[in-house]
Amino acid sequence: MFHPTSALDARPEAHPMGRPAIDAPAAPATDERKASDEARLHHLFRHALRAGQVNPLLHLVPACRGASAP
Amino acid sequence: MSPLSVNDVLARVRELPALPALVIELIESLDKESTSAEQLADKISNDQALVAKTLRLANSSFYGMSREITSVADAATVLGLRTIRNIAIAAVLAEHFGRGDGMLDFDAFWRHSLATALCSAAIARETGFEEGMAFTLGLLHDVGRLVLASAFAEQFSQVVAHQRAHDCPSLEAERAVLGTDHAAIGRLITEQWHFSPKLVAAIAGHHEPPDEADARPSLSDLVHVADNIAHALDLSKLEGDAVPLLSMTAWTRLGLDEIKCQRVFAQTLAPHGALCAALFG
Repeated sequence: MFHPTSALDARPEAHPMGRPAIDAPAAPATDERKASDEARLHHLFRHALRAGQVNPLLHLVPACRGASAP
Repeated sequence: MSPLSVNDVLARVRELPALPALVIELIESLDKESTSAEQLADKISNDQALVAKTLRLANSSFYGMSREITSVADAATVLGLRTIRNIAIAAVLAEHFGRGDGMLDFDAFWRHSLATALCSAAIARETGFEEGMAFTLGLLHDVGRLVLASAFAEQFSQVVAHQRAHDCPSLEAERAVLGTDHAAIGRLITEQWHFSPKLVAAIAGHHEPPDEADARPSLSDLVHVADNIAHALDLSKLEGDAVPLLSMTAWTRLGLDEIKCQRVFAQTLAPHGALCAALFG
């Protein structure tokens, strides 16, 4: 499942004052969430991907969540 | 399993309880500009369950009102005529079909239908289609699936089994098992309910909009793309959900560039939770 804020947290600009030191251990969790979001996106688009269709939403949807396309 | 004929479907549709008069009136009023907020509030006020749902939405954090909304007339002022009518149609239809106990996940079905409705209305704002009509179309685009699950439960469970075994799109599974699909059944039902020909044609064509590149943008294009976006935004929360194949002709005809798309996504995502909670929470 997507978490609209989780992908935003991964962006450097989401931390205008810089990333606080205590935040460092959280990075792997963010990566895990990002990987999980990408896996879910692949799962949702599996019929299009199997059919070889280039659906523009595959790139537009991650952008709306502040993430890059898988 | 033998294929479903038009007569099978029509015979079963005639046995279904009649569509509530309020829904018919509300859908008919989409084509009339003369309906006032007061007239609509009067109609809604006669249905206590509907009043409760309308007030729940008007008082939800999404609208952030500083005072409590206590009447449908007040809610009509806050939410606007279109939203009030949209809520009423969605609430009465969801109530009419119930939650079922078969193979269809009704909660996921309505979450997706509401997402498609919100997305259709957002695309309508970007492309110049009538917003209220687009919302109703999005809400009802899968009505054939709802009737399949309610009135043909045994056949529907075969469709679901086929879909799971082959991991194929629902349309393909329905055609393989039943010889027809939910878009064609949706057309028969909505014709039977005397919906406007525009709505009937768009429901019938929501998976296969016109393929002619030079055709003008249609309501079929709009709901086809809205359905695709609603699946892509993962709003049904259904584990096995999949984005259907997209008609690139329909996509191109609507002319949604990246900026418009991001607005459509935002206008779909923002109210979805509050609307689902008000209607089904």
